[in-house]
Amino acid sequence: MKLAKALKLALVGLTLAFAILLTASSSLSKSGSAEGANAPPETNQYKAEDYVGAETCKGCHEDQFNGFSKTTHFKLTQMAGRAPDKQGCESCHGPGKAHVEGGDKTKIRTFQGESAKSISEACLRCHAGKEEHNQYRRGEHWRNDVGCTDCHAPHHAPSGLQKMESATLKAIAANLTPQSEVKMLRNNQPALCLQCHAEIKGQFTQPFHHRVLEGTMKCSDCHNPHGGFEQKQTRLAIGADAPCLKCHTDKQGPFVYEHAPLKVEGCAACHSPHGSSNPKMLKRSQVSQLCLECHSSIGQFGAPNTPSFHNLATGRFQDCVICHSKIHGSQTHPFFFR
Amino acid sequence: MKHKGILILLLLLAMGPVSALAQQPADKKDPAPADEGKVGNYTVTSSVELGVRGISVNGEADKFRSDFNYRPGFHVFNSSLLMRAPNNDGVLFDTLLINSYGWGADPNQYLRVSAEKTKWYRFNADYRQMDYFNSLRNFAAPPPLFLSQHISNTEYKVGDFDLTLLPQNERVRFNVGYSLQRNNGPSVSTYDYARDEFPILVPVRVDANDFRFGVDAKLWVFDLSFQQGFRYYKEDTTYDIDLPVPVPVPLNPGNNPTNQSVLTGFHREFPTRGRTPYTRFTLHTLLARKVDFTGRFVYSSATTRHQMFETLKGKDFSGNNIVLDRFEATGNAKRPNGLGDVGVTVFATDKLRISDTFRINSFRVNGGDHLTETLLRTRTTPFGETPLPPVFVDNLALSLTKYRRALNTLEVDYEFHPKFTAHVGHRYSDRRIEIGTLTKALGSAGELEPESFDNRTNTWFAGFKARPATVWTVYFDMERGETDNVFTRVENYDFTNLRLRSVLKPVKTLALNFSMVTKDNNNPARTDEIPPRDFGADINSRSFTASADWVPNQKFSLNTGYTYTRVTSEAAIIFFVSSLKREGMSRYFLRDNFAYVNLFAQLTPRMALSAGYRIHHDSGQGDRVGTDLTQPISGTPELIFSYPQQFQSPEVRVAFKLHEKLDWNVGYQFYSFAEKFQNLQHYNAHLPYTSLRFYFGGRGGQ
Repeated sequence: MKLAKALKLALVGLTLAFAILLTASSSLSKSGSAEGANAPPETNQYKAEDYVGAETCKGCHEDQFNGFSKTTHFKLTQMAGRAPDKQGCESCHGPGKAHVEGGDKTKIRTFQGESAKSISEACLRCHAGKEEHNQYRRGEHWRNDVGCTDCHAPHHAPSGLQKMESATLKAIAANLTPQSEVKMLRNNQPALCLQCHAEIKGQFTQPFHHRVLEGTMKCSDCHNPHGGFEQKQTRLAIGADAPCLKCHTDKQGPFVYEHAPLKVEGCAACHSPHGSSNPKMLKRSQVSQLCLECHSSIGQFGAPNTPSFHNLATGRFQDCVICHSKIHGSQTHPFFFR
Repeated sequence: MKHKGILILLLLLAMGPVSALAQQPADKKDPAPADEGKVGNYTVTSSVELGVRGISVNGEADKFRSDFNYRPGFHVFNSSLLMRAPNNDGVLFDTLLINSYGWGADPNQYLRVSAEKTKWYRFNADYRQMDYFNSLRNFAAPPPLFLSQHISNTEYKVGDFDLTLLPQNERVRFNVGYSLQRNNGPSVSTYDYARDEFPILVPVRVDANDFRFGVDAKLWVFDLSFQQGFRYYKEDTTYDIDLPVPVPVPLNPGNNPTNQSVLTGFHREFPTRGRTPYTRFTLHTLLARKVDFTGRFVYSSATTRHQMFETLKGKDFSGNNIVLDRFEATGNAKRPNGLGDVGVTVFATDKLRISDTFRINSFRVNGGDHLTETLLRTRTTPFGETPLPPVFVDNLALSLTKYRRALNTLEVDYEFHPKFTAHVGHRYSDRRIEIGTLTKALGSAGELEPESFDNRTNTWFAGFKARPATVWTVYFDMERGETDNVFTRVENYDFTNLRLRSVLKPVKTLALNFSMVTKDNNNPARTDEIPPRDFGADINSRSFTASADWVPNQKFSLNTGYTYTRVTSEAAIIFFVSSLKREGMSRYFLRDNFAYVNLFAQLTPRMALSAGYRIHHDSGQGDRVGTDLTQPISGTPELIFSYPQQFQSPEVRVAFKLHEKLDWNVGYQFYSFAEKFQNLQHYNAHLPYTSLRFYFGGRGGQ
């Protein structure tokens, strides 16, 4: 414990040290100027004649253009009626006329040296306002300065990378699939997510796990990578229910007798949602242990204690769900027997 | 589980491509094909991999099936089709993407379809089917038999189908959607009756259908989103012991060896119907580039109605003959649920943002059940069958759960430098829960008197992202506060969570990652005694991960990593041994070492090798031994549990390029599981396979 506390103190100290160091360097540096500004960019304040069109950009930036032409974004360049600031290269890089005329790099937005938030604001010009993205500016990824281009490749990620192939784990390594290509992702799910959330990979390879590495499920089935109001950026199912209930539909209820933690604390009170070595992805290897950690009240409120005939020395009472088989909720039995 | 026929088939399928390969002229050119083919206006990238897999399991086959449920036989390993009209001039679609996997002898199967006609529509379908099997000797398997009494062999089908009209329209977009969930198949559960437990056959039958429609619109400066959905739920699962289906567990006479209870007949019908209409409305705006505002309101009102009819016969714990015990119940439950969210971000300067997120959630669950029981018994005496007085029960049960929670999160983030950003915030929650149940004879007096639980919690959090060098990024965040889990203990958990991630990319082809996640939940509960005693729970977890991804070129890649996960839980608990109340400690230990390595190598222009190895080794509680509750107890008893085990899964695959449009693959997977304590569920599973992958159009990324 002392070691852990010392470690935490050291890390907090490290945080402060970084802050001071980099704040000082920021004040001395010339690069932390308007290029890195994070306020959302201007919208609808452009002159049409300042835009030159993607074909003009292609003249000098052919490689980027060829990549871009394979992306979903490129479709917008072919849609008549779209404003020039919302199609082609200039939708992100801004009007190119001044840059084209002199070839001056400073006359166009290159995003070089900008923070993830600043880059993301450029994307949000078009992508904000959709239910999926509405809470991005207050999400976990935003908070930790993970931006759109950390996961998405605006110029098209290279395809055809053949890496580790498994007969059962379709998403174990970084293969760019057509699915990820269409979404302009830098990699497939879950390999993309696991690049940062590396500790989760071990959970998905436990004997009991949700079939994510197999490709049957995706991280984004349960989590909204673009933010959201829920903790852990989980999605809601069926209006306002936990995402687990979308598939585990028989647990949705409502039940006459609700096992209160199911709705009030959530499924993760008892289960490890990514995977576990324990049956049913439970947090403990022995069911009675899991139950008793809550059902041990010392007189104040809380879950009720077990009755005295529950003789824990016998095998019958070590697996609580043998009797309490409807532990998630019951329509007719207060103790979840049927 | 031997499948010689499948193995012979597998061998035959393997032989053909070998001879074909032998006849191929040497190809000295780089094998990289064109990425895409052309069909009409479309570029096409497509492949389908068909093959056969054999399986041989030594040891506990049920455990292997519970873990993976892979089956032998032919199946579609993988298929994908991507068609694109580069100039948006497709007739029905500009983009069509179809992915599928596992159809045939695989427990995890999916089909995904995405189609889009620019300007007009976007369609996404995601259909999944999972064959679920569960039969374990360490779950619902009371000693001394250690045979599972909760067995499942069911099938889950889950589908989502969504259509968006005018997807690129900035003014208005419409969407309709449908989702289905099905769970069907045989299973075994248990029923507690007359102080004994009896395995019951349960053919599961659960259906749910979800219909929804909505519109997204831009109105003045506001982005509006509306969705209305209806979900219908239907369960027709029945419960029997009379079905002529062999099961590997004795249906009678129950688990309790100390009484005479026997079930000789049991049947239960329990049709349940549910309906959940839900409405979601969202408003978003960005005002003067200074204030980002999102408001959302969700309302749902779930209801279920049930009818139960149950009959059973046999003997009760006193040896009386149960001629008929008949239960009938009808009832319903409702859960109206309102959820309101508001999020505001103020761009105070171009580097400083202040955000506040507020949530109010309120729901109520009202339930009512009217249950009648008619019990007819006789007693066998030397003079014959003597009827006992019948028992009639007519009960009304009411239940209530009320929940109201307000949650506010205030946070500030500041960009000190493009290479250093930091945030700090505070979260406050105020929660009130009321819970009560009442069961009374119909017509008798009595009112539901719910018990209420209140708590308020405060949490602080902070973090930063730093790029000390162009090639190195560090993420750090931590939280310290109280959770609002009121049921587990008498006081809030004090928790400290900490995360540190480091991503180092010294060169473009190499990424070195490190992460550390720690969680400490300390419950400071104390007893009412004088002087009070600690009666809390401390749960600590540590996870350290290091990994490396090296992709020097398209012909070679290596990914490897190691994760150490350590969980220690120590909780004061109350339990009973031979009717004596005991206060003891419950300790749980997880000490998992996980390592993996994945390798890809293009050995020759026509041959590629993939190999992988994964291992979990959990040493669990080590040498610690808990109190033997079957012996006289002295001192504070300790229940110590863990699940020490080792689980390995190496695999190898060799792909031969036979033709520009054809690959032949041959591979082998091995799963090995060994547990330390019961030693009942070891298995070694061998899964050889071979497959042919056909390409239509270009090869693309597969």
